[in-house]
Amino acid sequence: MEPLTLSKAEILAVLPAGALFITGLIQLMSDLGDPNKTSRQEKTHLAMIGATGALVALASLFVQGTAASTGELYAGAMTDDLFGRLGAGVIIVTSLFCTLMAGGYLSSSGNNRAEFHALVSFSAGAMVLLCQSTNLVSMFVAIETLSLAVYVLAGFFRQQKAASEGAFKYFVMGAFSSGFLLLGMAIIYGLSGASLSFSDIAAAGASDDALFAVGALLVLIGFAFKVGVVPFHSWVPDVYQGAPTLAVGWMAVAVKASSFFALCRFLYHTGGGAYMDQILIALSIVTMILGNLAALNQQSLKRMLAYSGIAHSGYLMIPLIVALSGDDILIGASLPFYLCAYAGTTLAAFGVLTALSKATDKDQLGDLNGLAKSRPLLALGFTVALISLAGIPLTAGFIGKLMIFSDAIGAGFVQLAVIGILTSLVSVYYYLRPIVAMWFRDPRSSFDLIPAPWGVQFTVGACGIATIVFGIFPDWLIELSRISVETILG
Amino acid sequence: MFSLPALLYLSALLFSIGIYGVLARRNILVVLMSLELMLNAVNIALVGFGRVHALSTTSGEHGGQIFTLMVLAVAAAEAAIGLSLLLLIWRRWKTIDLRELCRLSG
Repeated sequence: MEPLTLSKAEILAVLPAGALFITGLIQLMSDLGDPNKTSRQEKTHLAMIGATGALVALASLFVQGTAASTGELYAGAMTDDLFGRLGAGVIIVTSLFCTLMAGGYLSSSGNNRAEFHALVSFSAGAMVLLCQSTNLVSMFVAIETLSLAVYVLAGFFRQQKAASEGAFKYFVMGAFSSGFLLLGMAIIYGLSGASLSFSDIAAAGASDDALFAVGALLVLIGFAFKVGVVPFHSWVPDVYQGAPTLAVGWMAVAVKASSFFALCRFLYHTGGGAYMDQILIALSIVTMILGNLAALNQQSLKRMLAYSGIAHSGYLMIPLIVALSGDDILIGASLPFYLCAYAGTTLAAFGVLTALSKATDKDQLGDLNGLAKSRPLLALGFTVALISLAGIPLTAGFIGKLMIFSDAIGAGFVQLAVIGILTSLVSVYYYLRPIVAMWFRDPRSSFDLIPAPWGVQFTVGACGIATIVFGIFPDWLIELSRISVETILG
Repeated sequence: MFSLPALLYLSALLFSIGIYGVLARRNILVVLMSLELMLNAVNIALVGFGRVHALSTTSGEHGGQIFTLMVLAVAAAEAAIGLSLLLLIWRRWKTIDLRELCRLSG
């Protein structure tokens, strides 16, 4: 065996995740002495320093060259290409925004413990690794680390019965799906000819085997649970309703983004076996239809956003189908763009809900009545987010949907595009209801914001502006997505 | 004596028992044990595959064994989280019966 050496590229590649993990550990230790007395600012500042450090580490990766994949690192366990960096960037920026919002939200509900920041940091680190992972072991360990942290985040308000029930349901479902994920990986490993990395699996020609299709299907089921694709979505609304609003925002954005980045890499490398495209088509159609229909009648905003997130998982599977069907994987370039747009808009939407959750979570539709009269800017941010989620022009969400549907038509999947467009039209109804409530109804109660609301206001503002800017000038981000997908296969 | 099919049958049997336990049993503690059983059933298959691959190649490839060690660590962390959630539920509801839990929460 060759001696163990670390190259400069290998050390640099783990720095972003490493910075996040170390921040989480420091957070835990800082809270050891007096968990209640340390001031809110200290914890928030520490978490922000950590996330900024991770961003700097991510930027330092570009010193080695902007686009080219640096090949396999750590004996094929991870890579450092533009695709992974894009995913890492989305996740680290999201964690920075969540940290900005966390201090005031947690202290207003009497739960200001550093564990929240620590768990966000740990899960963010695992998500960054997940985006960079290129073999079965590193993918499994990363996805489990992030899941374990997120289970605890879902039950963070342990005084509330709904939170602990939701967290337990999430845990059982998640662990059950991990079993299937692992079984699928074991089958793929058994067929791969003594290698765990995606590229060797593809090169071994195992993907023509019928058993390989079973293994890839089991891996897909594992991911489908994590992102909430329809037959495996039953936990999503309950967990979203019970979990703290801010943690829901973090789960909805970061877990979904990192899982899709990893699934995309896995499928593009291995091809997914014989029946993968038909299975994906069926799942995508069912998810788009059921997600949007179930969202129609929800009075709880968190449940509405949960079903809307499920529906968006359905749209996000279309680029995977298109890419798997053709010889040219470049047409899958709409996936990173759509994920970036989805991340910004969802973060803005949950930011507004967080800002209003003083002492108790407000998530009924009626709670928003007349928001525009007393808090016009927050109402404007929420409106922009909902319009973008609905896919109305001049927003990033519109460009994302346009790219996905035009790719689908170009590759001959007209039925997917038609169903996508029809369900998007349906979704306008439930996205418009909160907008009507905010701008045209009389206020029911006063809108007290959580303490230190500047973090939330900054987040909502930044995400709202980014949504509009990328809706009007999308070219730069589209080009970045295209190059990043190009680098997956090196 | 080493026989891969025998190991795979054992693994499949244990995995099926795990699935049955998660889906059909109502005691949360048994559900947690079944979840662990599922992961460890796959471990047996991984070790078996790893052994076959190690015998068939000369390069000293031990991916399956390394994978198993990682899965063991993950399973331990998962058990810790599961048991702490179990404690939380016991304190809130004074029951660890899943169906009663669903009935209480409505």
